[in-house]
Amino acid sequence: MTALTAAEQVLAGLGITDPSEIDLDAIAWTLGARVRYRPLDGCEARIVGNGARAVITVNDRSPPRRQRFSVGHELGHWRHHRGRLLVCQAEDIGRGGEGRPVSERTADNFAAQLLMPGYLFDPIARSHPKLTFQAVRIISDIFDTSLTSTAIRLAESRHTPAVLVCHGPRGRKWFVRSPDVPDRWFPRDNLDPESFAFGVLFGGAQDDRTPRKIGADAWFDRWEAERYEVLEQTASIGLDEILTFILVTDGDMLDDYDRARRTEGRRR
Amino acid sequence: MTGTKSDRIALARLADAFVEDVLNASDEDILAEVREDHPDPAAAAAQARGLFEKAAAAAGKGRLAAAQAALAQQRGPANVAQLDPADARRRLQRILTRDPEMAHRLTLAARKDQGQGLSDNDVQGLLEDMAELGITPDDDGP
Repeated sequence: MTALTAAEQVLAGLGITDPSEIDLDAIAWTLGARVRYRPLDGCEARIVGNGARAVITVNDRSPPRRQRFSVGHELGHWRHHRGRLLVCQAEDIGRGGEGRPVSERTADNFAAQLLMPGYLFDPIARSHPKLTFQAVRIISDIFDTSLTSTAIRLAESRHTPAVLVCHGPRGRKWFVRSPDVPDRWFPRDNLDPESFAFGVLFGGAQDDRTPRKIGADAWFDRWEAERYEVLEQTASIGLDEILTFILVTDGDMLDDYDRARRTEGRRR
Repeated sequence: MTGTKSDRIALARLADAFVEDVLNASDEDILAEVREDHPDPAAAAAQARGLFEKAAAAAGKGRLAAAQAALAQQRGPANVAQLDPADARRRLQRILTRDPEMAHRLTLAARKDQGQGLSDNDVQGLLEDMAELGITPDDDGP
């Protein structure tokens, strides 16, 4: 049995056995935090704490599912970085990628586990064996989560070896990789005009209905990439922003010979 | 539960004695005792664990329901007077003078926000949050 994460322990301690029971305001209350929703001009969410009590304020002009993630994110700060004041900008919350402060990634992980706890999420995810945006939409409706946060949660699980990339007109914004995909598969900064994603972002093409086969070198600037094919599916997530799943279907791409070499080196 | 206080004390003593008895028994003794009533101790343990988890979940759901009920009573606008924007900024400044950590955090946030600083609306909201937590300027003047 896998040990429960801090967020999952909170949910299990409240007897939560169904996604519909994840009432964030009430959960926050049990943790000593009150949640307020009001227009915020300079940030997406903030938390003010004093001793064992806190007030979390979330921008009510953001989409409702975005607000839910922000509450979870601030509760993550409350659990891990108790302090007097934390102010989070939109780019601090619910974005993938490793180039952000550790504290923001920790808060995001807490939020993801609180909104989509593994003990409820994994069985539901497994009932959708194909990693597609159609599956992401169905799961996000069950957990009342955004397409982006649900896609990140799926990509970071061991559901399917995949890389999830977010692009805007000026290039790649962030990406996350499944644990099974070796580090050497690092997506290109800019979209290849051959990719289907390019047509969605710049050509006004519709979102892909199903993953489509494409040469891996369209996505990865690496000498061996031309040997492989991957599956690609893109969905728009707002004005000038797209998410793409790159599904790694060739087992040879998953050979982590860099790690094997490092381990070998340590043994010597 | 009904009964007098002395009855409850007696029951608690009896429960303590049972617990003490179980804790002092060896694993073999407990297994032997379980086998007297249950041919499969593992199944009995699983059943007991299931009952325990069910009771824990029920207690947890009770805590969640209590939180929901408390929130339903509390919801509504915070009872803080709308301050003149300049007064509100002075009030916030007085709090921050006393609290360097909080002042530092706000400076960092303002930098990330391209230095635009807090809007009047954000200052008012922040003061309301602080007031709810009992964070006010020492003199509590305007």
